[in-house]
Amino acid sequence: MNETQNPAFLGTTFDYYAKNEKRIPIHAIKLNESIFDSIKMSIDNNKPIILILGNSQSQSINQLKVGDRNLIEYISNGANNYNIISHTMPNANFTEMYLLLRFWSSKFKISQVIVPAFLDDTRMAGIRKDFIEKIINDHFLVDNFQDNGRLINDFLLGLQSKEDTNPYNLQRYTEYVFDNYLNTHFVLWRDRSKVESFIAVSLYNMRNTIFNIKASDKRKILPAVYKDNLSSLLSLVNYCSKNKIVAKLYIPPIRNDVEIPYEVDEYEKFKFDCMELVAKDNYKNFENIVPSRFWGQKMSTNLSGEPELDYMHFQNEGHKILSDSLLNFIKK
Amino acid sequence: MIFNSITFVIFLLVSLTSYHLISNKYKSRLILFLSIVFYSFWDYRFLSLILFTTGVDYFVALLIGNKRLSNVFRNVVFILGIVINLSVLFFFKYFLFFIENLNFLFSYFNIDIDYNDFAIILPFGVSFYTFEAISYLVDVRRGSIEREKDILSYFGFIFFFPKLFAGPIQRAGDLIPQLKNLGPLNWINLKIGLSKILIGLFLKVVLADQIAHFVDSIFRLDPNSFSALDTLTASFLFGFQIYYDFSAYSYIAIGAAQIFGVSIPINFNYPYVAESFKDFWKRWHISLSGWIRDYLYLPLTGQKVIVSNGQAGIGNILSSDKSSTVNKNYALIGTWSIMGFWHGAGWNFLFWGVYHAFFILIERRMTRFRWFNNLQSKGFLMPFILVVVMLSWIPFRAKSLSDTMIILGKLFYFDNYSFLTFQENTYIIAALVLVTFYLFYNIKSRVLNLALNNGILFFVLKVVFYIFLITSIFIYFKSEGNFIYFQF
Repeated sequence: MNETQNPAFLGTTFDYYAKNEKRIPIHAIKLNESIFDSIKMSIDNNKPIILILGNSQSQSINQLKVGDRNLIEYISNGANNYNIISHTMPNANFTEMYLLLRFWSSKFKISQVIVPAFLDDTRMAGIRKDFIEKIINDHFLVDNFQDNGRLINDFLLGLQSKEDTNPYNLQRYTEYVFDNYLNTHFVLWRDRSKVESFIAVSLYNMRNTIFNIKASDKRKILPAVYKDNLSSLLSLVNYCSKNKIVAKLYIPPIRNDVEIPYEVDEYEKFKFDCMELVAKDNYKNFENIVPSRFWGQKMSTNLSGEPELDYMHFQNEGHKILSDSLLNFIKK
Repeated sequence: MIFNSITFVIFLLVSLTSYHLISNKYKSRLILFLSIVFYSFWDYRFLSLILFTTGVDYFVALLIGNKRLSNVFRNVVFILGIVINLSVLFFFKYFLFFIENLNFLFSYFNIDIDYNDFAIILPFGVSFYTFEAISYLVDVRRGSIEREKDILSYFGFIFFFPKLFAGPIQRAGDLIPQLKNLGPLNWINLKIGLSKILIGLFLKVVLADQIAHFVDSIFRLDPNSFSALDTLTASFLFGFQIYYDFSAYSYIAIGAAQIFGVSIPINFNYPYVAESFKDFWKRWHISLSGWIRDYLYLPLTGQKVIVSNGQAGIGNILSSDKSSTVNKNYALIGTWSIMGFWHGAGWNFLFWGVYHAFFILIERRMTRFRWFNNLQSKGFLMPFILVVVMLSWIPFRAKSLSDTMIILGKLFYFDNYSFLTFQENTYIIAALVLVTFYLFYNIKSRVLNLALNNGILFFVLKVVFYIFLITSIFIYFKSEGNFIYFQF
């Protein structure tokens, strides 16, 4: 049995929240007030702060075992002279990453931001509420409208209903009280989001089955969404330039034992587009650094139940390899 | 207070309990009190505004309905009442738009009006209750109804909470008598009312709000990158979102009123099966199109209207049609322009109104031809009507008139039919939404007929239906996202 037939999966519990050596959380996925406070507490004011953005590749460990650590924690352990903080979201697109940079840089003096460039995630648009609870609750808006800041504010204002921002609206208070009460006392009410997710995943799997869509199918660029994402990435880079933050962009690892799930010419163009945005020293291509034996499989995305190759998430060893490369990149 | 909220569910329970306990004599006062509480939950600062305008309208009606006063005086007071109502609407809804456009004109003379710090909150329901108040004043002036002397009854008419924020727009002659004769709760009204509320909640939280995710992601993209098929997809998706959203509100409003024994006419009647544009406007936002017809269009054409418990709020014409076609056409364009602007302070809403007027005018001309009438009666024009109506929603959702033109313009270039821009799921959802609507429409009556002949089957179907409704509402229930028509 070769590695690609290994039945061990990404698993149902695969997100690992990174902590520093004092076991204080330094990493957010779904950012709420308490996680923010923990991250704030982890900061040593004598060291520069590096913000690591990313998607589920940074946070998720394939075939998670006791003692495994993810990319963020490995970097944190190896970057003694820096504060490492991180905010990663599954399928994070560049607009979301730009928002996260704007938010975190409004709270702390960021010296470097590390941004992975996934072609996959340029097919996603918009800003999702689920991962930015604190940003929504703070009624955060970017402080000026340059670049894609206006786009971000449009999204954020859409996520914050006018009633949430109107102190004279009594319903926001009563709704908060009632919702909290129901969440506390009724498991059924609290777990509705799980049922909703289950329905969404089931419909997704059904769609894949009906249209015979597989994980290995080539994902094409969606021109408008791609353009939006690149525009947000450009805004991110420009913002860093104006605010003396070093933006470092890297092409993340992809498994190289099988054909990649992108059109080759589109993938090459994407890498070129990213490379053009930053200085030569601030761009790195790590696509081939994680050997195939450190990848794995994930649960089926159709109704057959057959495991599929995971093109995104690698094992603990892959996180270690990438972290070593990123540490060199950071310290340069 | 929004309907899709835990607060509203509790409010309704409290209302029902107190309504049941209080004597019949005070039920209408209780409903008024509850309605004021309902409105206050949104923003209690604006309570004074609606109380003020309602009070003014009450006293204006007392004067204009007093036949002992001279006609001249009554006309002056009547006009004053209309002006006060329209001034309030103008200020809150159109003032900023007016200033923006004035600023644009002044910019040619290098004059700049600084209005950036000026923010006006649009009071919920102002478009709807203003129209109700105007219709009341007009009906009293016409002599169609008697002025209401009991101030609390009139306030009850305006404030009646189920229809307060987004209609259906009611006529005083229909609603006030019902509110004055409220009786005890009865099981049939409770059953029917609750089932309508459940259907409304399903349409809102399960359908409209889920479609909204796709619509929002579409309209945040650069419209220049749309293809022609994207334009159609966007229009259909938003067309269904707005239909489910608005009809949801109407269902809940009608259901909530029914619970208390008050009958409100339907506001939607499967508009997307319309066989003509005229038919569409008898099925979509029926209370508004009836209002526009009775208080704007027909008077503009010189026809006299009397409103006497007209069905679905549409009045009966007193005098016969003597107006010329030319007059009618100008009246049509005029009323549709106003209807467009009623929906929002923006040139894209005016465009929407003129767009509909244009197609109605063409249809009027075409109905002179027998072949056209044959096609229409056999339903062959339905797909065309549907596409034209769906495309009309683009100005409602696009960010500006220029975006509207860009998006609609995509249809006119052959090259734009060769690619797609959105995520694949968007097209799948659009197709699914379209197919399920027509499937439901077509099988609904057949299934019902079948079930009515088989009592056990009917019972089983009902149980399954309500379990499905309640379960899906429970899973997707969120008190986020206002109803789309709140912004109008």
